[in-house]
Amino acid sequence: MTPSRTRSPASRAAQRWSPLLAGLRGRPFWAQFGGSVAALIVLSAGFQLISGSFLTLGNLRSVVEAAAVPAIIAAGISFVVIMGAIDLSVEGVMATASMVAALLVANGVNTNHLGVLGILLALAVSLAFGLANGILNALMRMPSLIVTLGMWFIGLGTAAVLFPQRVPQIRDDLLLGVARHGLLGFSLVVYVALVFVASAQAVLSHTTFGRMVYAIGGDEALLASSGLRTRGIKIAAFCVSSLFAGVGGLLLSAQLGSGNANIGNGHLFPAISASVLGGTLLTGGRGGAVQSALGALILEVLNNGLIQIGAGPYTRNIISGAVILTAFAASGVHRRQLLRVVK
Amino acid sequence: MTQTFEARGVAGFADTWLPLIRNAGPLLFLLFLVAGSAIIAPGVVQFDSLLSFLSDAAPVIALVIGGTFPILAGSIDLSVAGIASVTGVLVVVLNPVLGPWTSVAVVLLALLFGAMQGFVHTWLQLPSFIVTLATLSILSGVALLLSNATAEPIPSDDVLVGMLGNALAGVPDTAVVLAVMVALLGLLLRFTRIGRDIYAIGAGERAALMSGVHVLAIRTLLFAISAGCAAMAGLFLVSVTSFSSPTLAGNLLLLSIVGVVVGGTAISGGVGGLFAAVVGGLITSWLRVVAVIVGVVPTAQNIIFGVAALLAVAVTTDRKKLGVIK
Repeated sequence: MTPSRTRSPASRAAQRWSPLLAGLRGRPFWAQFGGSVAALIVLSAGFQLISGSFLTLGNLRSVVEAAAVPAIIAAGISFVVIMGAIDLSVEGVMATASMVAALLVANGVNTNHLGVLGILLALAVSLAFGLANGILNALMRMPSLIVTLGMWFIGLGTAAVLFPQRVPQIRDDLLLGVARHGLLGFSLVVYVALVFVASAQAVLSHTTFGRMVYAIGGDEALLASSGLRTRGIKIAAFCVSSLFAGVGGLLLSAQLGSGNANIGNGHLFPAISASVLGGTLLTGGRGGAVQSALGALILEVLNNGLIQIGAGPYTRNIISGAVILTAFAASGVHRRQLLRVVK
Repeated sequence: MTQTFEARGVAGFADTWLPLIRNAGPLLFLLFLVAGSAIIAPGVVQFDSLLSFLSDAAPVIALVIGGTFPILAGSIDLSVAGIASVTGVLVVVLNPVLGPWTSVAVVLLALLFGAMQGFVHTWLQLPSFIVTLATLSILSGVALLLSNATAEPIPSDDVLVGMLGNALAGVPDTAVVLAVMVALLGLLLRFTRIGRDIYAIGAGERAALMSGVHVLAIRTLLFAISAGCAAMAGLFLVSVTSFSSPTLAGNLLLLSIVGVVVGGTAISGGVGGLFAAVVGGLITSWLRVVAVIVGVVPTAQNIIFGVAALLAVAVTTDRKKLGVIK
C-alpha cells in the first residue's frame, strides 16, 4: 500500500477497490483470472470451429444455466479447499436438503405446507451437516477426508430413509418459482448463483473470517504458534460449504420439480475440479470463490462442447477426469524439485 | 508425586488403552457381533450359512485388504470400487479377443493401472485422494462406455471366473483364493524389506526417505497391490452374480474404507496390517448380516456404515503424529 501515496487520487481509489476484483492477495486482475478467462475463450473458439453451433445465444445461455448450481457448490467448497482440507460430503448434503425441503413445503405426498420455513429448515439441516463435519475435524481432530466421506454416506442414507413411497412432487410456488421465472433471459437460479458467489468472495476477501481461512491454508502451524484460535474458523468454513451444497440441492430440486435422493450424484468431483481449475490449489492458501465459479463455467463449457461435437454421454466422465488430472499436474509440476511429502 | 501421577493418568488413557483397543478391540467386536447375532438368529452361525457368508464377504474383504496398503503409507485409494466394476465389464468385453484367459489379463491390466496411479501420485506429488478420485470418475465413464450401460452375462469359458464359482471340499473357491492372497501379502508385509519400507513410510516419510527407502517405487507398488486386489474383488463379485454391470461395485467404496478403519488400521498411516484388514473386512460384512437380522431397512445401511467409519477413525487415529490435521 505504501507506493500508492505517491500516486494520483484516482489510482489510489482504483487500488483501494481493486481487491474487490483481484481478491485478497493484491495481485493484478489478470494474474488471478487470466488463466480461466483464456481457457474459456480458447475452449469456446475451439468448439465453435469444430461444431459451428457453439457460440449461439441460445447455447451460451444454456451453458450459463447449467453452470449456475455447480458454481454455487464450487464456491462453497472453496472455503474448505482454501484451508487445505477437503469436503467430500456435498452429495450427501444435497440429497438430504432436497428430501427435507420436498417433504416440508407443499408437496404431493403429505399435508405439510411450511413454505419459507420449510426451505429454511432444509438449509438448517445442511448447516448441521457442516457443523458435524467441522466439529469432528477441528475439535475431535480427525482428518477431514474421512470425516466428510462418512458424512457423505450418512447424508445419502438419511435422504434414502426419508424417501416416501412415491416421488414427492414439490408444489410450493416460491421454490418452483426460482426455476420457472426469469429475468433478462436467464432464470432466477442464475441470479441466486451470482449472489451466492459474490457474497462468498466478499466474505473471503473482506472479513476476518475470510482472511483466517486463507491463513489456515497458508500455514496452520504458524497460526497455532501465534496463539490464534483456528477451530471456530474451521467449523464455520465447513458450515459454509455444506450450506452452499444445501442451496445447490434445493435449486436442483426446484428445477426438477420434486425431491430426489440422488440429486447430488456426480456433483462432488466437478465441484472439487472447478475449484482447482480456478486456481484453488489443494494444498491451500490460494484461490477464491469467483475463481471456483469460473472453474465451474469452464467445466460446463467443456461438457456442452463435447456434446456438441458428438462425444457420447459416457465419455464426459472420462474426459473431465483426464482434464482435471492434467490441470492438477500442470499446476503443481514446478514444485516437484522440492522435497515434499504428499499423502 | 501427585502431579506426575495425575499427568500419567491423563496421558495414560492414550498410552495404555488406545493401543489395546486398537489391537484387541476389532477382534472382540467381531466376536461380540457374531455372538449377538447367534443369540437372536441361531441360523446364521450354522456351517452352511457361514460358507455362503464367506463367498458374500470375499469381495469386500479383498477390497479391504487392497485398500489397507495405501492407507498403511498414509495415502488413500478411492478408485477401488471403480476398478472392481471395470474388471467385470472387461472380462465380458475382452473375451472375444483374449479367450478363456481374459480374466488373468484383466488382473494384470489392473496391476498396471494401479502402478500408474501410484506413480502419478508420487512422481507428480499430487495428493492420492485427488488422483484416485479423478481415476474413479474416468473408470466409471469407461465402465459405462464399454458396456453401453447394460448388464451382460459372463462368458462361460473364462478360466478364472469359472474356477471361482466352484468349491474345494465344500469351501467356496473364492474363500480359498482369498486365503492365498492374504497369506502371500501377509508374508510380503511381515518378512520382506518391502514390508518394512511400507511401515517406515507410513510412520515417518521424511525419515524413511532420508534412510534410503525408495518411496517412489514402494508407493507405485502399493497402488498396484490395491488395484490388483480390487480386480480380484471384481472377479469374486461376477463369479457370484454371473453378470457384469458397469455399476456392480458402486456401493463398495465406503464399505472398503470402513473395513480398513474398523479393523484398527489408522488412517494416518503406519499402524495396522493384514490381520487388521481381514478382521475389518469380516466386521463390515457381518454388519450387513446384522442389519438384515435386526431389520434395518436397506436404505439406512449407508447411515450405519458412515457412523461406523467415523467411530472407528475417532478411536484409531494417531493424533500425536499428525501435528496439523487437515
